[in-house]
Amino acid sequence: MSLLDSAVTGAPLERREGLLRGYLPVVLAVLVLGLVPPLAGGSRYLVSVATLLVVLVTYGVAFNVVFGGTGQLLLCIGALAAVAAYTSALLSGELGWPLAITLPLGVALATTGGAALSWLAVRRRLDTIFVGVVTLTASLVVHNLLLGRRELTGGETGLVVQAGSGTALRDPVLGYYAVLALLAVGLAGHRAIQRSALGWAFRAIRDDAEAAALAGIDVARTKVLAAAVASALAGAAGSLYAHVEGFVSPTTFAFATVDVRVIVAVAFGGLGTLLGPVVGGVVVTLLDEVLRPLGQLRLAVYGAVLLVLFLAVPRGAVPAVGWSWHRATARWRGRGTSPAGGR
Amino acid sequence: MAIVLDGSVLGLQLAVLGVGISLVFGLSGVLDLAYGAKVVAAAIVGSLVLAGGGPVLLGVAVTVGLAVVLSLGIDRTVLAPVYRRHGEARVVLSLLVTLAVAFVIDGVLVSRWPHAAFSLAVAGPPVDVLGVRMRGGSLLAAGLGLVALAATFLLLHTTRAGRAIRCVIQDEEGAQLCGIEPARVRTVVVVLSGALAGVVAVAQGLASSVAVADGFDLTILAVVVAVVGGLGRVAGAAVAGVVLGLVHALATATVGASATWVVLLLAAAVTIVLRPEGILGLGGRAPRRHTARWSRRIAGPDRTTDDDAADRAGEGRG
Amino acid sequence: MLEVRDLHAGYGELAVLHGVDLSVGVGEVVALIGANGAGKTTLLRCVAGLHRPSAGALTFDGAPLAARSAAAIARAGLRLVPSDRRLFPQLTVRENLLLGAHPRRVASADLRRVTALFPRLAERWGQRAGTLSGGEQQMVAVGRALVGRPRLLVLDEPTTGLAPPLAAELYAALASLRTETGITVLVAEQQLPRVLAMAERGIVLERGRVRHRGSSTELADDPAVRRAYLGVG
Ligand SMILES: Nc1ncnc2c1ncn2[C@@H]1O[C@H](COP(=O)(O)OP(=O)(O)OP(=O)(O)O)[C@@H](O)[C@H]1O
Ligand SMILES: [Mg+2]
Repeated sequence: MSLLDSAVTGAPLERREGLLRGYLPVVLAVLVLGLVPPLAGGSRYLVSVATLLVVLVTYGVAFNVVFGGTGQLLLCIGALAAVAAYTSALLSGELGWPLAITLPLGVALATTGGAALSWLAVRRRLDTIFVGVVTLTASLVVHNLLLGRRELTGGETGLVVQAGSGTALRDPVLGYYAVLALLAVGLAGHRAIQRSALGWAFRAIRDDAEAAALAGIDVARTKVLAAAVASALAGAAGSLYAHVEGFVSPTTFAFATVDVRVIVAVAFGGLGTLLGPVVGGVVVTLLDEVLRPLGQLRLAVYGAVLLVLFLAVPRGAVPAVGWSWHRATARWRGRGTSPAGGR
Repeated sequence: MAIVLDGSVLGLQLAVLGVGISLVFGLSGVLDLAYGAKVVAAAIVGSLVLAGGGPVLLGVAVTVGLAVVLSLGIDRTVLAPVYRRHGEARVVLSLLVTLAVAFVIDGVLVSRWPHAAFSLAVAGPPVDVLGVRMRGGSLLAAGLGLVALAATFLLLHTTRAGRAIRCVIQDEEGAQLCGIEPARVRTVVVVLSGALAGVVAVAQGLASSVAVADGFDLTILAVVVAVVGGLGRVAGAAVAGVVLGLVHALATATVGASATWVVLLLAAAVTIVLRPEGILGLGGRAPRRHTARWSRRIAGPDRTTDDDAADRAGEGRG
Repeated sequence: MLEVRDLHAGYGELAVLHGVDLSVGVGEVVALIGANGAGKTTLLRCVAGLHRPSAGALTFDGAPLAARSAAAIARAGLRLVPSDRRLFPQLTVRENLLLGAHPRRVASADLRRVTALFPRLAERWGQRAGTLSGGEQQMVAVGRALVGRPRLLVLDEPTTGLAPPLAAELYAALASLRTETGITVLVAEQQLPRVLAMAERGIVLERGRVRHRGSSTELADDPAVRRAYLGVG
């Protein structure tokens, strides 16, 4: 199995391919993204777009782990990020607690929330769409609470995050590297899962939960664990972003701003693939920026482009590229075979 | 009493929304995230007719007609590749494609007519109903919703076409073996669902108004109602809509407008978690997907088929 | 009545049928015999329009079937009873039967004939099909095909999962149907003695090719067939 195949299918690499090759895609992706600030030539605007991009990709990795990995359609990534971000911002701002305490506290809260939702869904054996709608309602509830509890959250106008001002986080470039570091952790973590026994459990569950259970996999525990990992990552990303930006509002984390974009990015990049969220996130962000001059018509063109992309590569860009690559190299090697499941 | 009446007015509209989206999902596994956008598009074009001095009935006819044409058009073009896939792949691709369609429709509406709104003012003084004074428009809207729901049920349960629809929902291949043409049934259902979207637009216009930005919320409401009703179960969606409408009115009266949505959504989430097979439970006779193709979660009431038994033993499919 | 010429079919890259020829004349009962995986179901699904062959010709009453949908073929009088039955689980026995003649109304004489054939069904009239036992479901499936007044009844392993007495009951019903109406039948079956007792002719499929064909007595006496399918000889 080649490196690229492995990145594409998410299949664990065989041992002999070693640590270095296993994590090479992660390292490459992070290095490329790390080049943005030097190349941006001091443009604050570009760095802030890139920061948002990296945060989006991190959300994407979280969604990819839980949905691509175990098939739980967790439509509350934005809400979980909001829970962590607001917890940390409010505890630090109102009570003056240090970030070193409030950041982990917020992440822990988000993790608990996500795991609880997953546990509920597993207990009640909810089907994909049902999980999606329950978590969607959860995220709308969070959104409405943020809007409604004005005296605490500032409602629609949002909240200036005092904590963290004056620290390195507020320097645009350093802030960018902070969120990038988190993304690196997320990608490496996803890779580690793919390479571990847990990765096999994920694949088995996605393929046939019943067969997985018969093979001795604790389906319920694995699913809740996946949701917890994803929620922690999403919470950390949201919280970090709040402190880098110095400002949060319900819109920052709204379903339409976060979850819809995450789904689009991950679906376009390739669900379940390691680099899918990166590719998808970059494309979605670029599309947004390129279409900006169109003004009001932007959304329509954006939709039309997505429509074409989805219909052209329904399984996602990374697998599509991977398959053409595999086919080309196979022909070159004199074997005109397509990979299993390629049809 | 006022709560019950207000709740029913909203509830009937929610019911129509839920039934419209649920029918199509039940038949083909396509969850139409462009449903709200279609409602809004139909309403805005209707408002243009009215603004141009067209008679009210023409506006209504254009609204419903456009909703039908849009539904059919989308189904025939961009959804065609979706129908070539099966199982969960179809469900997921349909979500993405209809989401993109919703972006396109919303985008066009926002850029062309950012401030348009559709409302059908009904003249005349408020009417007394059971001691409560109701606006004429609200009453008309409720009546319209009721008629649309009743017509849908009559179609499904008394006509041959309705029987064919219920059959295809239960077992597409079995229906083919009986000489039923699934493609034709799909056309009927898509037209019906489009007409219901038109009805929602008109009823909303009567009760209050439809603005350009409402599409997203309408879609979310439709999905929530349909899922609370047990996705694909028409009777369930209708009941769920009315119940949620009543919850909304009750919440407005007791906890105030700001917390209303929270109460409504929590009620929906709790219902789904407690009764994933739908608000009516498994006893109803409403059509639902029973084969193993996508809603493998749904199991039969008494004797189970092998697939169902397997699913119950497992944790449900991801 | 049914002509199959040089039929090739498969699933993706996998070829299952490699040029099958078969014909069924009016009033005949033809048995389709073959080991598991020989391609019987594939062949019958092609005939019913549920699976598209990769090459070859299918004609029913002289008219080609290739362009017709499964539903159109069913309405033309070629009715398949699939091995997984494909009933409407939420509808009652009665409603399932009423659907057999769609879009026509079912003649009450046809319903009476089905209940005469399968008296058990009369007792289960209002029960949901999904809650019937396997054998009862099979009866409903056959009954549903019959009320459509098929000219060619195609059965795919009608006795799968049935206890021997029920299987015997089913074949007895088919035999009496045969004598009453002279219906044409193509039946895939593993239970050789049972099906050869009713069929005039048989066709033995092996790995997607016709291996033997002949009258029922010839097949029953053929040592190769006896060894392979009866476990004797
Ligand atoms: N949907 C499918 N996809 C891929 N291969 C299939 C499919 N259905 C059947 N096959 C393959 O085609 C071959 C013939 O299958 P078929 O069902 O026609 O056999 P059969 O003669 O009916 O067997 P049985 O007696 O077990 O029912 C088998 O090797 C089977 O594995
Ligand atoms: Mg078979």
